[in-house]
Amino acid sequence: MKELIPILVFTPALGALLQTLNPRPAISRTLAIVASLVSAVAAIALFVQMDPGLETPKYVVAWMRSYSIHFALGVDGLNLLPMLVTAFVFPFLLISEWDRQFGRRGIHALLLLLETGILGALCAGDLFLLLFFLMLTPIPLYFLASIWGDEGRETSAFRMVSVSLVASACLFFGILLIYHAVDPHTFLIEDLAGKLAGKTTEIFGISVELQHIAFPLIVFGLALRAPFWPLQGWFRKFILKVPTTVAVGALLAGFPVALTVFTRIGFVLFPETMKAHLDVWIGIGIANLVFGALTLLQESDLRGILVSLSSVFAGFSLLGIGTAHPTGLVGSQFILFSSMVALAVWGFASEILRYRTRTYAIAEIQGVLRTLPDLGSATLLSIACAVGIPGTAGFISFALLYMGAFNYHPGVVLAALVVSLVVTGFLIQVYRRIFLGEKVQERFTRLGFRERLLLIPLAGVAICVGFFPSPFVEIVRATITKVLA
Amino acid sequence: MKDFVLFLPELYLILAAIGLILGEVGYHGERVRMILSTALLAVGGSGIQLLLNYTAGASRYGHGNFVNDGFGLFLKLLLLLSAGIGLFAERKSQEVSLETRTEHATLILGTTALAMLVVSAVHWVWILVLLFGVQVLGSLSFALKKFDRRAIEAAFKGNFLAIYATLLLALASLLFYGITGEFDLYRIHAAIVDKGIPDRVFSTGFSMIVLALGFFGTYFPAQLWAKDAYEGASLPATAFASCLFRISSFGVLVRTLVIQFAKESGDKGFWQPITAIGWTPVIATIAGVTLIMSALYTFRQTDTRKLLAGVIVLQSGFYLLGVLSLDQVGFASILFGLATEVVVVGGLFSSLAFFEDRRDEEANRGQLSRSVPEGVALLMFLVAVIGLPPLPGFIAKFTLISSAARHQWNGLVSIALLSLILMSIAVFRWIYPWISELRHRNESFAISWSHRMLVLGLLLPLAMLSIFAEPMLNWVGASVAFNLW
Repeated sequence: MKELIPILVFTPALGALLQTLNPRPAISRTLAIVASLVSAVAAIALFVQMDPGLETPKYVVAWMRSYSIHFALGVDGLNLLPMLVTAFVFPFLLISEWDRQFGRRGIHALLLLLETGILGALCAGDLFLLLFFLMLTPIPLYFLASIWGDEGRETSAFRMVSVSLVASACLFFGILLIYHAVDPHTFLIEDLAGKLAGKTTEIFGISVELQHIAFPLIVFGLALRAPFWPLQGWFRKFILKVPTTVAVGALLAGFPVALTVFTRIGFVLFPETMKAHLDVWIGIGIANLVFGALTLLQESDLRGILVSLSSVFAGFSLLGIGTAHPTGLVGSQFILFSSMVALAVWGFASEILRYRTRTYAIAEIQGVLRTLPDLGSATLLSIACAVGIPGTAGFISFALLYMGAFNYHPGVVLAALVVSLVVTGFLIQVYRRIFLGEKVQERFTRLGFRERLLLIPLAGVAICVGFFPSPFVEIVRATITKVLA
Repeated sequence: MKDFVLFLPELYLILAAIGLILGEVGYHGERVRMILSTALLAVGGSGIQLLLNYTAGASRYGHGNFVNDGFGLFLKLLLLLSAGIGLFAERKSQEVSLETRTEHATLILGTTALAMLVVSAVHWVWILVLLFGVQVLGSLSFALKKFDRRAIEAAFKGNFLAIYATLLLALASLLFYGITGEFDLYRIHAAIVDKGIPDRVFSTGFSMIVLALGFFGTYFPAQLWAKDAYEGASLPATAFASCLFRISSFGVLVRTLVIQFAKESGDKGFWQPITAIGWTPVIATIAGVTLIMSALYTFRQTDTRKLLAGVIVLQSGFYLLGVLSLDQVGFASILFGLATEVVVVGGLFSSLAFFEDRRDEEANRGQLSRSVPEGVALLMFLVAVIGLPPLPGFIAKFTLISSAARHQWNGLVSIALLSLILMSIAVFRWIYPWISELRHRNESFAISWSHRMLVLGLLLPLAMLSIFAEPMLNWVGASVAFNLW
């Protein structure tokens, strides 16, 4: 089973490489989609074979022995759900670019490289490998934005890459400090567990405890990458200037990866520090919720809604982490899954609408339900999943999150519920305006096969996981219980 | 006889250079066709002879003035690789006229032969004479550009500074000769250990040597000339000379510091300063200032040549981090970094030479679309030179920065990371015009297949260095261990 992990991570990169061979367009785009589908199948196969009672699959090979660097990839309850959603969404991102006239091979290759970066960062069990993949992801995003972005893309792409570099440097420094703090030096997260307590390092001649320098550096780096409030300004500008496909890819590379890495490094390497600062995580989570909800209320752009919602979901997920309670943490992982499914469907729906209306402005799109009923249904389902309506994956996420958060403090649940209501109200308003507005858009063409293909499977996943969450919950819970113990 | 055999690699190159000169003088027919093949034959033969010499074991030859060891062998192989790339690159360069190609090839062979002798020399007289020759011949190749005032200026600067630096080295070696009565590095070391040395003399001699080697190795405070010279010279000459100067200079610096100025500490493969005066803070300061000054210089550049010159000079700061560590792992990281640089800088300048030498931002708009494979190769070399994954520049930068972190030079690590960010931002800013507005630019140019093969061929070792970083690091580690320190 462990052999599936490198297939999962590197098949997209292989697909990217194949794009350079210059075959006919039909073959190259098919190759790209097949590469991504192979990765998705590997992800599903890994999930099917996982058993909560057994060891989780790990693929470990020595890479650079002289530096004790291992090619260590693994799948467990802490990364299963983000890994599944990434592997599942990317083939649809590629399919959505099927008809692109300009630079199709380039966009496919870069999206596939981005997929490898995200999956690698999610599955990395070695800090060097983690850094490797985390530093890789901004590169394809920079090229995607610079080449295929809208007017004004230069600044947004440049800001994105600058912020990512600062984040990477913080992570680099933090990881180096951890590596040199233990003897024998190692990057393997598993081997580092329990060995960092009380370790010190010197900064400009002053002795500092590792938990007071390495952990904050890593947290800051991840907070920039996620991004969390108040460090999110660049992300908004980036998303508003790139095609929706790239926006969804960037969202996947953002908070799901950052929060997964944060959970692993926090609870495995720095458990005491992590638990000593639960109030901080909860506080940042609530700040993100409030900020996300307030900006959402101001949104007039379909892509802008993606950004604000991602801020809200990152806040919800961080609340779950901050509870340090098994149920809350499972809820946090589920939030990552359900939110990305909902955001992907929203993204595809936005692109389908833009294709027909030539705009992302909410005010300019009205009454499209009559001509595009299937799009209306899929969008409604995505909203249901996003706000946690029963029967969708979102409901399980929020139920588990609130159960865990209640153990921490009922006030947290109250704050989360208020934000949830605001988000629900706003999304329903937007839905009503776009799909049920007075102006009936008769001129729209019906959804084509590929457009339906983008919406139906993802909507199906949201429902399936909503009705049958047990296999996912058990695997995630087993790992989290082990980590918290 | 054994000595003669050990000198054969350099002899092959010198004989080939003489052959090229004779061919140029005595024959005016199809000489152009034979230049490259003759020179490459000599480079290949020299490489094979080097590997054969390796079997002779670590030993001294040439009346004890040179050493045959793994460190020298590795540097010599890098010099030959650099010469091979330089020969190919100048053949297709638009900046070097057909009439001067014999001179160019002769200079490459001659300079390489001298540099190969430098990196194995352990006698001050030989070191300064050969280094002078390397710098003079290398700088002369700057002048072989189609008439350009800046090229002449570059050659003049290189030659003038060669005199200045050699005088400094001569003074330093005379200073040590005056105290110890020796020019041989090993004997100077023994004399210092036996009789001691006045602190003031030691500090003065040490400072002069480090400063003089800074001219060749392009680090603070002697790096400023390089930026002007690299800006004025032709692309192939810059690529070749920058690698050559740095390899020979860092070869001499490491050998001198370890043999003359350091002694083995308790563990094998670790050294410490020979006298009570700790000179490592001096190197640390030079490294830090080189990094930050070059990064700031690079950060404000938009001109292609100036930017690349800044990026190249910046690499010296990273190598100094490896020097600072005073252990085998640090030295191995320098070798790995130099190996990467030879391939990356060679590829970078060769792919840039493929495009017209357009220097400003406006002229570069949409350049990538003119020849996508070369453009993509150029971008990959750029990503490698700044040290981002997945290319080997990342591993090289990591190993070098890690050398400083291992000794808890954490302030220096933060400076190195800051420099990395500034350099990367500058490079990404420079990339933007190349990849923007691709769809509006359709002019392409005739493809030179041999040039394309060179550029794409250099991507192969780049990928190999990434994938097989472990065996490569083992090899450089073994090279450093197999020596006569």
